[in-house]
Amino acid sequence: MNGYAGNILRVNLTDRTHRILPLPESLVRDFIGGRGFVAKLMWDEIPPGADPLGPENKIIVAPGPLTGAFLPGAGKLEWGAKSPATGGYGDSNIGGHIAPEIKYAGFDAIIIEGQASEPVYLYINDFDIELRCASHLWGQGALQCETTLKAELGEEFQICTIGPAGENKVLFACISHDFGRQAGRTGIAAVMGSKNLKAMAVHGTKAIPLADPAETLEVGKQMFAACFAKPGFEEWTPQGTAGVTNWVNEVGAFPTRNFTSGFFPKYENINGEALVSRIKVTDKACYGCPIPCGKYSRVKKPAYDVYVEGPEYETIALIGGNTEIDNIEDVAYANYIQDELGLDSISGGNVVGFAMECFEKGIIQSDMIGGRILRFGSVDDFVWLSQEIAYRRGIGNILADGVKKASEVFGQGSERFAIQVKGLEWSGYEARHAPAMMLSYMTADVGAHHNRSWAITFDVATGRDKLEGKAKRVTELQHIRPLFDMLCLCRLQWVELGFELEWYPKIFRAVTGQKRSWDELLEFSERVWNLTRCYSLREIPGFGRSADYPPARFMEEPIPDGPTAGKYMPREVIDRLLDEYYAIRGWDQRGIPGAAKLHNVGLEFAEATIAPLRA
Amino acid sequence: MGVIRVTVRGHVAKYFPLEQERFDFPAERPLTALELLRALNVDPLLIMGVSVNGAKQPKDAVINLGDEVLFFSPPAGG
Repeated sequence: MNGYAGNILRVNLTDRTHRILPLPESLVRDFIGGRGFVAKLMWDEIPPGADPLGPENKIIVAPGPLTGAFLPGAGKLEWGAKSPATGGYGDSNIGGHIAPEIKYAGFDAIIIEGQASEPVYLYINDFDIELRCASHLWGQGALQCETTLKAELGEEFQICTIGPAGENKVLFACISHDFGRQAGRTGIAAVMGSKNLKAMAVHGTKAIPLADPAETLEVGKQMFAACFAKPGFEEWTPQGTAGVTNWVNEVGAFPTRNFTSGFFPKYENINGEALVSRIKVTDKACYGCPIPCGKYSRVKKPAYDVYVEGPEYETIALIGGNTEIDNIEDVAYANYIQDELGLDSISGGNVVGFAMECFEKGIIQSDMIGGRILRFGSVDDFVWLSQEIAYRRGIGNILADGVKKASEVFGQGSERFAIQVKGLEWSGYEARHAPAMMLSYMTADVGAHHNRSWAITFDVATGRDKLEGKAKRVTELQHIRPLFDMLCLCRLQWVELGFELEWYPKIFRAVTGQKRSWDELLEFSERVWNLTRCYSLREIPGFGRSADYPPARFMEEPIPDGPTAGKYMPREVIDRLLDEYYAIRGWDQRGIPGAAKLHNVGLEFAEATIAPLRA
Repeated sequence: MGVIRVTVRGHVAKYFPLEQERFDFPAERPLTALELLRALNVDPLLIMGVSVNGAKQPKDAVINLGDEVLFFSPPAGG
């Protein structure tokens, strides 16, 4: 099968065995790769009702058919597992250089199952597969562990690690790679920790069969040239995603003070200009990337001197505005601390902001945290609490389960300002005056994450008080963006440069030999979208519409200041958005896909599971 | 009558006339970037930044006939 290595690696941690299996043609035919493989293998492989942190959960790792080929941004890797944060479908992707290495080692997917009796790491050197002792690595920081393994194995190995947060099964622990790239969302690192799997090191030397090597080279060259020729190509890279900080603040969507507000007056101390002028050392790119979004920075103060990749926009938003840390050096330092601990800085900043508000409201009291105080704006408090969370000490043990579960423990109305959907903490866009963006967060299959549909410019362009057309656009984006995760391509060339989507079917055909239009590829993405919905319906009792609502703060509390002052999104507006969204999707008003929809998207196999839920 | 040379970087190009990335805008007099955007029926809030003849400028900067203006889309995150 052109574009594919042709093998799946199955690793059993319990009995320390592995098998190399042929890649099923049906998996390729129906699910393409990456996120598609993850979703289908999770459906097939993980027993219904599995404990996310038990041995029956499985980790699926999958590159895509274009991974490692010659085209811009072909270095993404998809991770998946039943999410311990949400109890439902979980995935997260990572850049860097490990995805091509897995393909070159000969694998289109890795299934990791069981539970090791002691810490191990997975060593993959082509078909030389071993589970090696990781006792000396256990306890190391995520970045430190990568350094250790690079020294032991050689620079040619690409390595993913977890930090203490993953080891301690913090539900928003992240997988780290390439000294600053993370698969951060949905807690898959906690699943690794539960399996005593500290790291994965991969080196590959094999070739990938291409349908038309000459055409692949030619189209790849044209794609790079087209990227370089895009207007504003040179201006994008210096700040990367941090460059959006000013704009998000200008439109009143910058998370501030645990999403109390959408406007942070001190944004100029933490924006892209501050990053470039005060801490940036150089740009840092993933495999085959012409527009490096990574910024490698150094922050040096009397108390610390560290290098860190970032902070990128989401980290600036959640660690900066959301906890009111108002200078780029401290944001970068807090970013470094969470990276080394192995915490997702989106959820990490969200959780710390939640705790700070709990302290302000007297829900967390000083005697509950050893006489300390928790102050918005204090990097010392941020770092201290991050460590408590990563090691599950004291109040950190409650917060380590994320804001939804923590609010259930704390009570006293804290669930109103636990900013999450489905148990996943909200990322970097306050959406009370952005209905398409709000709907994007509400209906993202993994929980409140922006990368399934980023629709805030659509809101601005079409009217932020208008609801017409919003559900349709969100649905479209929820097929376009996840398709990149099936192909395992970075989407930034498209969203940042306006790179034309028409390029992708061309390179897909050259690599795989399959002639498919972009619209045809989107049909695969819709199939996967419905499958991930079915997965969460299967796994979470009562899942459906009730899981698609935003926190009460967004439905009931007007924004107090800034450009969106006075705005909130009443429940009736939320309901209208959901009604329209479900209708477009062919789901009933409880958010359950209809039989006709499952049939139309090729998911007949799910009908027997879903039908009883409609009764 | 002259022209202002307009370039749009990134995804908001679809909200410009004919969804074009590059075009010439006929103008009788210098315009600010804000005036130009309104003349194009584009909400200025859609634009993250403005560059005139290669130098970053505020949205109220004056664009003279014959100048090249570049409008930046907001980066859309990961």
